[in-house]
This record gives sequence, structure tokens and C-alpha cells, in this order.
Amino acid sequence: MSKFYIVICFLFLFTSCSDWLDVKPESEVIEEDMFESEAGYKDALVGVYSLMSARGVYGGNLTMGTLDVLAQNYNVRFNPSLTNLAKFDYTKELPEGRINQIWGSMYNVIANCNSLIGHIEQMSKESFTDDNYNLIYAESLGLRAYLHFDLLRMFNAPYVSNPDYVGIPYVTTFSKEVSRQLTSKETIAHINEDLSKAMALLEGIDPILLDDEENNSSNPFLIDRHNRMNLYAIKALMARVALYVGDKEKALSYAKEVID
Amino acid sequence: MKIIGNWRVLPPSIRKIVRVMKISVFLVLVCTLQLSASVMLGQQVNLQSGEMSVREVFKELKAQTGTYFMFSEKEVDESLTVNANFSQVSLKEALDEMCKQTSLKYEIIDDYVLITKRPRVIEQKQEEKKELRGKVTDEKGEPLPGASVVVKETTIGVSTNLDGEFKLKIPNNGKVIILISSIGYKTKEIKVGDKLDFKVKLEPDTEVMSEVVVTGYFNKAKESFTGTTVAVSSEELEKLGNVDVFTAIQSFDASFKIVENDLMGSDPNSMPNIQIRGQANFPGISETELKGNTNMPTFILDGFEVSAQKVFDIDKNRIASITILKDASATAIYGSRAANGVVVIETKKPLAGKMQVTYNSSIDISLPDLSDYNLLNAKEKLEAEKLAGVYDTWNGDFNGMANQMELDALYNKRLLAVKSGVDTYWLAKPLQTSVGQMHSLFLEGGDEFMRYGLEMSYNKNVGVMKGSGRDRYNTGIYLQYNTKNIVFKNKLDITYVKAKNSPYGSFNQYVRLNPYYRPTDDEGNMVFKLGEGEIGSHIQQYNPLYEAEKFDNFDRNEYIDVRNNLSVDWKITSELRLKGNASISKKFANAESFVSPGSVQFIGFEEKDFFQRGSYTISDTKTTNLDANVVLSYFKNFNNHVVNAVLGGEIQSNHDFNEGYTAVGFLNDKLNHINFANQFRPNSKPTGYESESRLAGSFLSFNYSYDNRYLFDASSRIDGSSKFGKLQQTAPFWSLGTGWNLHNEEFLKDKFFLSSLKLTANLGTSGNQNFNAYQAITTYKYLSEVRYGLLTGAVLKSLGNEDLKWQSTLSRNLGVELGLLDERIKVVGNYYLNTTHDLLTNISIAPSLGFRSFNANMGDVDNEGYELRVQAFPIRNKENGMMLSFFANLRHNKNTIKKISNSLKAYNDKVIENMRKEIELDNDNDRTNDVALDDRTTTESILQFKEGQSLNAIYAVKSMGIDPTTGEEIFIKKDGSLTNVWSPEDLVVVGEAAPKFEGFFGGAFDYKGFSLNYNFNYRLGGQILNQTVIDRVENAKFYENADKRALEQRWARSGDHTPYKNITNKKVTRASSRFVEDDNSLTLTNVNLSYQLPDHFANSLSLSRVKLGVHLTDVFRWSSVETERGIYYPFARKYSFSLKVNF
Repeated sequence: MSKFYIVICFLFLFTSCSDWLDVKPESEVIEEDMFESEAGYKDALVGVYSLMSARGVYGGNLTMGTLDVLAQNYNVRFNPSLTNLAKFDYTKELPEGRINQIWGSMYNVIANCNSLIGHIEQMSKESFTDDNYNLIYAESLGLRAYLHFDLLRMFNAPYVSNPDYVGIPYVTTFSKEVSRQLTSKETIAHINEDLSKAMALLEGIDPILLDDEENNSSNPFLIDRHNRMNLYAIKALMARVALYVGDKEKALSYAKEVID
Repeated sequence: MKIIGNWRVLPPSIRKIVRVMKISVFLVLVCTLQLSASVMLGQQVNLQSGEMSVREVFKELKAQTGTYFMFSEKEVDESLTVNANFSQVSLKEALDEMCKQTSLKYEIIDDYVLITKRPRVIEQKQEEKKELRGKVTDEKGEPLPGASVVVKETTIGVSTNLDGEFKLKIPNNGKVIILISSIGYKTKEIKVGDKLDFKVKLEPDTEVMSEVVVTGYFNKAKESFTGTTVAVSSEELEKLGNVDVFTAIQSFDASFKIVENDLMGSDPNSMPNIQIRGQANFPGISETELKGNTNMPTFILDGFEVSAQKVFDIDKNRIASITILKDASATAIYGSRAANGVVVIETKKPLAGKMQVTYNSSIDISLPDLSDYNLLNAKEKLEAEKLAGVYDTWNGDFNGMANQMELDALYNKRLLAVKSGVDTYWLAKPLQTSVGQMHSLFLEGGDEFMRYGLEMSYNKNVGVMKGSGRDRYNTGIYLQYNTKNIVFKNKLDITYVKAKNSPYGSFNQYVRLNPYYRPTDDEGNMVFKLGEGEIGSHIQQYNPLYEAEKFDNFDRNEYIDVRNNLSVDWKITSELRLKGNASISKKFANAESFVSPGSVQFIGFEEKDFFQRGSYTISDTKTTNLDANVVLSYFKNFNNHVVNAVLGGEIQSNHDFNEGYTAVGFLNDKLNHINFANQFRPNSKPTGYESESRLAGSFLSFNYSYDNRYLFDASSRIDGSSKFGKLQQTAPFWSLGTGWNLHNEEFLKDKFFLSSLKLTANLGTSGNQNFNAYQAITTYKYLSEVRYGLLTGAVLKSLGNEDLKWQSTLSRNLGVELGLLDERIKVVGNYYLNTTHDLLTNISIAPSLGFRSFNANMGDVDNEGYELRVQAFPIRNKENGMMLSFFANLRHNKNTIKKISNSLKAYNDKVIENMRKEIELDNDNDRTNDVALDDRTTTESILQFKEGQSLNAIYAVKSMGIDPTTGEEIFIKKDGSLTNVWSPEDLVVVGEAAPKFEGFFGGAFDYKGFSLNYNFNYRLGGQILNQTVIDRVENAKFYENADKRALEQRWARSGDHTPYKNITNKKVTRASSRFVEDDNSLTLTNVNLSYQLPDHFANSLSLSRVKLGVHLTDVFRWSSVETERGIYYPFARKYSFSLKVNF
């Protein structure tokens, strides 16, 4: 009978292999592995900033590129494609492409924020060094609000004239589920919610408050704090949002906090 | 009768009376007789004489006891002797002993002993049977399961198990003859002597396929199998000469189809694409997301999955058999890899015995086949140019801003060249008649314990384009060790392949060159610009020969593949068997290309870029494969039931690693090692990728047959793969099949000339997971070239799909196999319907999700069709070896798209939209001033995917032809109205590219060592959009050479009924039904003649077998369509001479 035991042993070789099927790519990082350590969160956050600086978003289209052409800041007479853009002829190839690019890239950055937020929300403050949990969480919330705010300004009807305009969706999760389109009012509520949360997280701990530490810091993650979604940026954004919806008092109070 | 004593004096009649009396006395006095008999037998005898004749012994015994012995002289021969050593034993004991030694028996009748021979019936009851064991193999030594082993003139018999082994209890008497038979083999008679262990080799009856179905994991008996398979033996492969394996297989099975590649022609380095039973993936679109060609079947070599390339480069002489598994019953055990069919290849195993050497060799001559090209010659070309207005000032398309005088001068200059006899046939310039060769050596031998095989081969395949070729080197060591129950096998195999692409570049460059130019100047130096200094011609033609012949550019790749397979086969009991296999393989591939600093590419480089001239690109790929499986099989044969159950498990891992870079800055092309490069290409970075995938699966296969009449098959497999999404990591597959061997039914036995008739039906599922390794998972990638301040970050690379799974195909198959007139006519037919579900495609998603698309399973495709194969042997004379046979096969496949994804719908719309934009642009721009626009013009059939249509549908606008009055094409709009304007809205299906019927037919004739065979390939009922006519006749650009029809069949004046529009009409011609032609073709794919030298002659050369052969490939081709084939690489005809020697 010993033969048969060996046979059975052979067959058991094939039973436990579910772990074996989890492969890890070398040239890219699986989402779960990315958020295994604090470094991953930092890298993902920097990734968001890097993406925002790309030409399709703030490195072009949203600054000196498309929006400035729309604002008639250039003389584009000799460039027929850009002329179409300047003439707001959105059905032509170039304007259509630019608009698609803005929409797609903005939401791609938002997806990156959401992936980060989704993971950090499942973590505890203690598992991060110093105040990094607050910083990363707050910055990504702030960025999400910032991006949506610009999308709102670009794609929705002006708030003061029509706050119930159904426009952009406010995407808060990274998944295959499509988010519903919201009215401007609802979107503003989301933006304010994210900003308030971010503000609460940063209040009192943002290194920018300790004026000289920002440049002398030995921690590269904290260097150049002014280039980040810091507490003042959040407050300034809250002021802009308040101004946008016509709440001038609130706008003034936030603006004053920044100026002072 | 002879009675010792006074009996013999009595006359016969009285003797008879006496006997009758005795019998009645016997009946009456049975008790007393018993008594008297025991008394009689109890008498003591004493005899010490050793070997002694039986008669003498009886005499002696009579003398001692006074007992009469009665026997027939016939039965107790004088020569019959016994060893008589009776010391003080009873008469009974003495007689018993004597009977034991001989085949006699005794009876006590009255006071005498009757000696007779033992009758048979009693013998069998009394005697122990002896057990006969044996193994039945085919002529190659491969086991033959299901062969019947029967004792002659009795009903005692068994059939062999999967290893061809049998055990049979036979009567233990003298001469027993057993008959061993199996369908397709000659019946063999064997006299059983003292030897109880047999090895029986059956010779094939005719050209009948082996009766085993090789599934890769285990073998099945074919007669009880319900799946559809096609097997090709090594003899059949041998007949075809030195062609690659794929080309060889396709003439044996119509459903195994090499997709005709009109672009790559006979490029020795171009891997063919293969489809079994139609295509199930969206061409063009899905290929970028899927790995390679997803219609490719899975290849299994000696039990392990290998790449198609490995098969492409295999030494064909080493192949023992190829089995194509097509339907669910056959492929379900391969689960998630089986949807496109499985091709199982087994290599030859060494045979025991003293060392045998087999040497194969061939010389292959290839000639370019340019018969599909019908170009204008110099004179005609000039005439066409004149007519097309090349030399008219109004025609800015060709002559820029030249004035009429300059144009006239240009014409006259060219005319002068033509008149002086310049007519360059550019097509022939990069071509050659190539001579390749192949040598393959195999050594084998061993004894019953140990066997060895050594193989070595070299195959130099030289292409017809100068400088192109593929050299294959292969070496292998095979060792096998047999113990009583366990067989160990190990095969180490090393392949080295070196491939070179032609420095002459793409063949289509030569097709365009004008024949009135010469490649060399008057001194015979190669010129760089053709027609240099011509005023008025603003299209400069460059001489591609200049680049090819002056510089040492190269583009080559090579790989080494090392593979070791180990297998342990343990026969636990005669029914139970455990087999374990493990394989490890590593492949190092390297691709390099070098462009000389002097090359045309670098002309016009600025001085500061001096050190960037010349480039060298290297790309290295390492592939590691691990594969192991364990198979436990059970085979039981009792009464009329045969059960075969197999349980198996497998794990597989595949890892690819690639890196590459480009270096620039070479001084000259002699210094062409990467070491001489000055720098990496500016602004470039190293490239590369990595991917790892793993698979684990287990399967169960069950086969049952009752009385070899009713057959039943069931199998299932569960696969897990790392490629699937998190939520879908195990994939179940199954199949059920049933069959009926009607020829074994009483009512059909030997009736209606019927020798065999088998019906089968099966259905089941199989999968395809031929997609990229990391498609299901969400990953981050680090941005290496972007920084934010002093920090670098990582971003999401793609949106994964946790639900991503295998494509699954539900296949159904009905089959019939019929043999008539003792298998002289054989018909095999199959009908199938395969539905592929969950096709992997890219799905468009709302961009607000952050990504525009992701991969999902969406889309259904149906493939429905039938296959038919008929084979006939009008002459099959075994005595003189004369055989005449014919065969024909046919395949029909209809492909229907059942469901498509939203992204494919969007793709359809986008294509139409792009066409509209392109036409708009054409109208906007003054096209005649912008030659570059030509490259952007779409004249091909528009690829569209519509539900209900086929994947091979040809979309074009319907056309009425050329209006004889105006010379303009008239189109039919979708609403039926007529127009002169081509519009993408009017695209409809105008044809079907897949042929209705296609297949092969051919025949063979064998006689006295001569063997001739030939195969034709035919295609019927398909259509083709004749791109040659569109591009090279209608849209012919007269600054380059064109098809003859451009000059000859064009509309010229009102009233001309011609197929093509006016030569001066520069409007772009796009795909319309005018160019759709019926695509029927007939090709004589090969003719082979071989001669095997008579044995005595071979022996006189101290060789055991010598065979010579001549093989012709692609001898001639007829097609209803005149179209240019072999665009980037021409087609070739091949003639080979082969030699096979055994010693």
C-alpha cells in the first residue's frame, strides 16, 4: 500500500497554489504593494503633483495654453487651428481634442488622488512618522477639491447665474463605477467638505507655519512647502470658492487669514 | 486394441461380446469391483530402470502384479518413455507417476487396466493454464493499445492496455497459436512455445493512422475516443521534403490553416499565422492588447507547452507524430489554453538494439517567383507617362514648375535611354537563386535497461532576397533507463538559431523604380540618385542597391534555447500508472541592427551631429519557462467494459525579461562593434519590459466503452492563472462526448462492404488566456523623467479589472468516420459550431473615471463549419508493394460576430469619421501640389465590426463601374441612388474574404521502392479586394513604375467600355465593389518523388536503408485574381533533393 501513499502525496503537490498565482511585476508596482509603506504614499502624492505639471493640465492647457487662447491673450491669426479655438469653434479638431485632453487628464489626476485617499483612509495616523499622515491626507484632499473646482469653473454654467446646473461629477473613489453628474451646488458642497477636512488636518502642524524650517529641513519631503497644497493654499482656495459662489464675507475672512 | 496376455487370440466379434458383458458386469458389481480395483492397485511394485519405454514398463508391471494392461498401439507409441523409478510403491502410485510424465491416463476395468490418451476437455480441467504476457507495438516500437490478442480457434482473448501490454491465460498444452490484430495493421500469428513473454511488432496494413490518440499528457485508444483529432506520422512528414512543420501539417488537415501572407511571401524569418477552425479574435484592434496572434493554437512538444517559434525551428526529421486536437472532447484537458485547438508533437524515442545511425540530408534550391508581378517595361512606362501628362506643363503633380522645353528635354532624354536599350528589371536586382542545405544525424541504441539517443542537425535556409536566411542548429541527448516498473527518461535539447534579414530592404521599393533608369553609371559605379540632374521631375528616386551594396548594414537576430525534460513513468499495477514530467527551459534571444554612418539616413546631418552618424540597436530578451505535471491513469478491461480514467495536475511559469538600447556615432562601417559607438542616442533611454505569468491546473478525464460499441468520454479541468483578475482566479472547463462504433454491431458486421462506421458527438468548453501578463491588475509606475522639485513620484498606470477572465469557447462537434471495402475508401466528416464568449477587448469608459478605457470581457463570435476528408486506395497490393491512393479534403468555415463592445462600435464610427475628414482634407487642399498626401490616403477596405457580419467581411462602396461616356466611376448610395462621389456613409459589405471551401487534394503511388505523391491546394468562393488594381493601376503614380493594366485597360475616350478610369484622371480611387473579385485559386503545393534502394543493394554498401528523394514546392499557382503578392518579400519556388541513410 505504500505505493498509494506516494501517489497521494504527489497529487497533494498541486493543492496549495493560490499564492503561487500572485505574481509581482518588476517594471511596475502593484497598487497594494505601492501602499504598503509610507514611502509609497509619499511617492504617490508627488506623482499627483508631477501629473498636474504636465502639459495637458497645468503645464500648458490650463495656464498659457488653451485657456489663454480662449481668453484672447494671443494673436493667433496665422495659426488656423488655434483660430478655431479662439473663435470658440469647439467642433473643430483641435479645440475638441484640447477639451477632451483637459477633461481626461484632470480626472486622471483625480483618480490618482482618489487611489491615494482610498488607501490612506484605511490607515491610522500612528503608522506614519511625524505628521506625515495629516500632511499626505490633507494635501490629497485639497488637491482633489482644487481640481474639481477648476473643472467646475471650466465646464459648468457660472454658479451665480445657475447654481442648479447639472455638470461635472465629483469623483471620490477609484473604481470602475461611474460617478453621477452633480449640480454646481452639490459640487461646491463636496469641495468645501474636502477643504474643511484638509484644513482641520493641517491646522497647527503644517511645517509652513514654522517659517524657517521649510528650507532648512533635512527631510526632503518637507522642502519647498510653498510648492505644495499647504494650509495657506487650502485657505486661499476656500476664499476663492466662497468668492465664486458669492459669499464675500467668508471669502474675506479666509483671505485675511492667508494675508495675515 | 492390444491386450497383453491371452486376449489377443480371441476373434474380434467375441472380443466385442466379452466387452459388452464386462460393462454390464461392471454396472452390476460396481461395489465389488471397487474393492477388487483397490486390491489390484494396492499391489506393490518395484522397478528401478530409469528411462524406459512405456510398453516395457507395462510388461514389467504385468510380470510383477499379473495385471493386464490394455492400450492402443497408436496412442502408446514405442518411443514414448518414462522415467521409471518405483521402489516399493503401490501400482496406483506407479501408474499415477507414469501418467504425470506422459499424456496418458488409466482406467480400471475389471481386472485389467485400460490405458488411453487424455481427452482434451478433461485435460483443460485438470491442467493449470499458463499465463502469457506480452507487449504489442507498431512498426516504430510505439505501444499499440486496444489490439486484440486471441487464441486461434477459440474465444479466449483480451485486448492490450494503453501501453500495448497484455496478459492472457492460455491452455498449457503443446501447440497454441495466438492471433494478434489491430485495425490498420496486419494480423500476426504466433506459436507459443516455452517462452511466455513476447514482444510483438505489427506491421501497418496500409497507410492507416496510428490507433493511439496522443493528447500530450497521456495516450488514448483511438477506437474508443469521441473527439476529433488528426494525426500525421513521421513517414508522411518525410515525404514532403525540407519544408517547415506548419507547411507540412496543413496538407494533412484542412482545418489547420496557415493564413496566407501576401506581404511577407517566402521570407525565411517570417513566422506564419495559424488558425484552426476559424478565427475568434478581432483583427488589428485586439492584437495590440493581446499577446501576439491570439488565434494561434497551443503547441505541446513532448508533453510541454512551447512557443510557435520553437516548432517553427524544430528539426522535422526528429518528429515521430503530430496530432491536432480540435474539438472539446480532445482539448478540454488543456482548459484555458485550448480554445484555438492544440497541436501535440512527439519526437522520436530511441529504439533498443545495437547502435543505429540515421542520416538525413537535403539540398534546397529556391527560385524567386515573380509571376504575380506584371510591370510596365521601359518603353511602355514612358508611353504611359506621356499619356498621363507627365510631360505637360499643366500637370503640376509630376513636374513641379518646369516649362515645356525642359519637359520635352526630359522626355527626350528618357526616350534616348529607352531607345538605347535601357530596360532595367529592378525586381531581379535584390534577388538570387538560393541554395540551402540540411543535415540531420541521429544515433540510437541500448538494451532493455538503458537506451540512448543523440541527435544533431543543421538546417541552412537561404532566402531568395540576397543576404536573408535562417540557420538552425540543434543538438539533443536522450537517455532512458528502464527498471521493472519504472521508466526514467531525460531529454536535453539545445537549439541555436541565427536569422538575418536582407540588407536590400523591403521588396516593394524595387517594384516602384522606373525601368528607364540604370543602377550604375557608365563606369559601372553604383549611383545613389536615379536620373540625377533631371530638371522637371521633382520626385527623386533613390537607388536602394547603393545602400545595400556599398555599406555593411545588417539586421540580424539569434537565440539559444536550452531545454531539459525529465519524466518518470511508474507502473504501479498493470492498471494503475503514475507519470511525472518536469521541464525547464531558458531562451536567450538577441536582436541587433546596424546602420552605417555613410547611409542615406545620415546624409544631410549637420556638422555638429558628426558623431551621431551610424546607429546600432540591441535588444535582448531572456525567457524562462518551468513546467511540471503529474498524471495518474487507470485502465481496466473487464468483460466487455473498458474504463480509462486519468487524473492530472500541472503547474507552469513563464518569465520574460527584455532590455534594449541604441548607440550612435560610428566612424565607418568596418568598425561596427557596439564598442566603437560614441554615445547613446541623444534623448533616448534604455527600453525594456518584464512579464511573469503562472498557471496551475488540474484535470480529470474519463473514458468508458462497452463492447467497443458504445463510447463515452467526459473530462474537466480547473485552471488558475495569474493573468486573470483577482476575483476570477479559477476557470472551470468541461466536455462530454459520446460515440457509437456501428461496425462492431452484429447487424452491420461485414455488411454493405462496410468495414468501419463510427459516429461521435461532443460538446464542451475551452479557454484562451493569450493576453498580457499584468492586464488584470492596477499598477503604479514611477515617473523617471519628471520630477517635482527634488522629488519623484509614482502614478497610476492603468485601471485594472478584477473581473478579467479567460475567453471561453463553447464547441460542439458531430463526427462520422466511415470505411468501405476493407478500408479501401475512408471518409471522415465533422460538423462544428464554436461560440467564443467573453472576448477580451478594450472597453471605452467614462473619462471621469480617470482612464478612457480598460480591458474587459465583451463580445461573442461564432465559427460554424464542416470538414470532410475522403481517401481511397484503388490499388493496395501487399505482395508487390504496389499502392495507389487519392485523397481530398475540404473545409468550410463561416464566421459571425454576435456581440461587440462599445469601444468597437466607437471604433467603427471613428473610422468612418476619419474617412470623412480625409476626404474633406483632400477637397480643401490642392492635392496635386502635395505628393506627401498620398501616404495618408486610405484606399484599403475599411475595417468594420458589425454584429451579424463576419470578421472577414469586405467593406466598400458599391459601384456600377466606369461610365463609358465620362470615364468616371458611378457609385450606388445606400438608398439606391447613383452618384459620382465616394462617401464613407455608403460603405456596405461587398464580399467575404474567407473562402467558402478550401482544402487539399492529391494522390500517391508506391511501387517497388518508388514513391510519388503530389498535393494541390484549392480555394473557392471567397472574395478579395484587389489592392493591386486600386493602388498600382487606378491610383498609379506615374513618377514610379506601375502595373501593365494601367496602360492597357484604362478608359481613353467616350464609348470605351473599360474596367478602369481615365489615365489622366487624378482623383483618388477608393475601395469600391469594382475591385472586389472572386478569389479562386489552385496551387500545386508539392510534388515528391522518392526511391528506396533495394535492401540487397543497400546492404552491399553496408547500409541498412537508403532513400533518395526529389521534392518540388509551390510548383505552380493559378488564381482568378491578378494581384501582386509578396509585397515586402517575394514568393519562391523550392526544389529539394534529399537523402536518407540508415546504418
